[in-house]
Amino acid sequence: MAVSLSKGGNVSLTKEAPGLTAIDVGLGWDARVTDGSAFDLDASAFLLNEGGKVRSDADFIFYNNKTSADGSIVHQGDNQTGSGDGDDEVVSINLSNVPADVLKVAFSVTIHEAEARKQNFGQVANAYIRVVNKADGKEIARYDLSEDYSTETAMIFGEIYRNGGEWKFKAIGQGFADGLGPLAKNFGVNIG
Amino acid sequence: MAVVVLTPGANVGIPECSRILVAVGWEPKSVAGMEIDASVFMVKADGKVPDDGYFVFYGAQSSPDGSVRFLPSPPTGFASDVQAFEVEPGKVSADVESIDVCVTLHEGQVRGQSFGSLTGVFARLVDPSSGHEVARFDLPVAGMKETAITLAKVYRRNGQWKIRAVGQGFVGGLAPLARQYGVDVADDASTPPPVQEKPAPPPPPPAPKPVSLTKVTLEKRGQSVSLEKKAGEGFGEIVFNLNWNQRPEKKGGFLGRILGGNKGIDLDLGCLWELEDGDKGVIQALGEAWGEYRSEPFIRHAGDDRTGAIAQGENIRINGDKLSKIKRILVFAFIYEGVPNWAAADGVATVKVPGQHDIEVRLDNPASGQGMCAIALIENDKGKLKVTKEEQYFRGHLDMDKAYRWGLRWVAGSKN
Repeated sequence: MAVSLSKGGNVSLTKEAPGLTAIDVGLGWDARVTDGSAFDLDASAFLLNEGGKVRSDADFIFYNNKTSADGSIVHQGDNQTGSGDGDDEVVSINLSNVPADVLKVAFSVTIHEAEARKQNFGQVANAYIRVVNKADGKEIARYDLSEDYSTETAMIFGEIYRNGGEWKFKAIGQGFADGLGPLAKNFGVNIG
Repeated sequence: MAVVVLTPGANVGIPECSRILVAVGWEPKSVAGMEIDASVFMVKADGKVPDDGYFVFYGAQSSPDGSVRFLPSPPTGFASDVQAFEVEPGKVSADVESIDVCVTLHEGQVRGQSFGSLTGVFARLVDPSSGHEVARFDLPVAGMKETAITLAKVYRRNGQWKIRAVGQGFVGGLAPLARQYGVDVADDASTPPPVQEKPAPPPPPPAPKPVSLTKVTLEKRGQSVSLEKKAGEGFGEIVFNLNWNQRPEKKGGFLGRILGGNKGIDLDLGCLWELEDGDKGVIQALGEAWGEYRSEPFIRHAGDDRTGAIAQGENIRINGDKLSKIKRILVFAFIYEGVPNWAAADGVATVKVPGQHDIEVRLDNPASGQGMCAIALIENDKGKLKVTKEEQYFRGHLDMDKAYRWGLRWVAGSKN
């Protein structure tokens, strides 16, 4: 039985799934059923050091940079409409290969061309983040954001982080008003 | 208390209260040739209505749980609003998670209208006891191509009611909007009463069909309803009945004579028909063109039926088991003699289909001086029986034929 988190809540992935070595972080939302521009949501991951910043721009994993330098984190690709069953975007992480100086991986979702399309998370239904054990496909933890957003266009959905010898997952649900750029800058990425 | 102004996607909690008013309005309030309606869909967690009764609008003004009432005009003191819904949160059925407030443009797409044609559309949440506005949402209408919009949702969240501004909808109008909510309506209908047959229960045992006490009234021109036949059966004998006030009371003598004269009103019921194979023709008393029931065109005027088995007025029988052969039927009434006085005739047409709700079409937009009235269009819509209220008035057969592009040749005739 997966742990369902609310905003700010956390769970030990290592305790929930002993022997855990690799996870899929799935992000999902409902495709737009009304007329108008589709909701194209993009998932990104940030590999963060002790200071909560990326070590270099290469630690910003997104649709134009799908694999981390060490190969431990792989973005599985962009779903541009939110249609289809299951997760809309997946980031795979081989926990045992994550470099030791990476203490945290934050997962964000941004709305592509939010301003031009006049879209925000308050218009997107049933957004969630979940962590799945790659070994058996079982869901370990889930966070449904539903009400924890409104007019934001970029959100940090959740993060995994080291806590002693274990990996934990925390539900964040923090919004940024101006999209992926400011959010990435917040983590120390140089946005040109 | 400050008013919370919502932008699309934003939400806010509603202070606890026994009664709230969701008022809806638009600017300009009235545009010639534009009909705007507010409606509410009360939906479960899956976004669908529990049943069609939870679609609340001018044609069904109260929800089955009694929690939502449609107010065709806003209460006194709410001058800016056009229509409103009164909601009693405590009465809302437990399985209803959200009350979605919508606005639709009747035939918007056909008429080339959309919400972008207006300067403003808004929803306001008002405390009816004080008249205070709690929250307000002004839809950004500029450039909108949609003709049906979900304006706002009033929804439950952790035991509290909240309101969220939505502002999303459909270019295609009410039909796709209603389908999204699990209410099946005919296309190009404004606010058609849903009369879908429920899927047949698995046999055995065959459940006896409950007696229907309700009838469906097509209120507006262009409004339609589609009936589905039951698996393995046809529609049976469909009767189109026209009844009217044959001897209107002569109110006030003088006026009565002007209106109706001393003669009774003589309406003749007829129809234009077109079959799938392209054959077409007319059925009417004039020329004794009665039609045939068992062979083409599978339509027969019952004008010569004096058995008394049929209701008052005049009747046309349509062989519903042969609907697949029929393309469309335009049922009309014609006043041959005297001043065409549709108001005094007060005509009511009823379409009776065995095992289905009766469908009523009232001639309530009477035009004077025009002898011909196209009452309703009956179509074979991919196997469904679609009935649309027309009530269009014409000088005679030729004008009506042209308007509906029937393509028959007409010569002047007289009943005698």
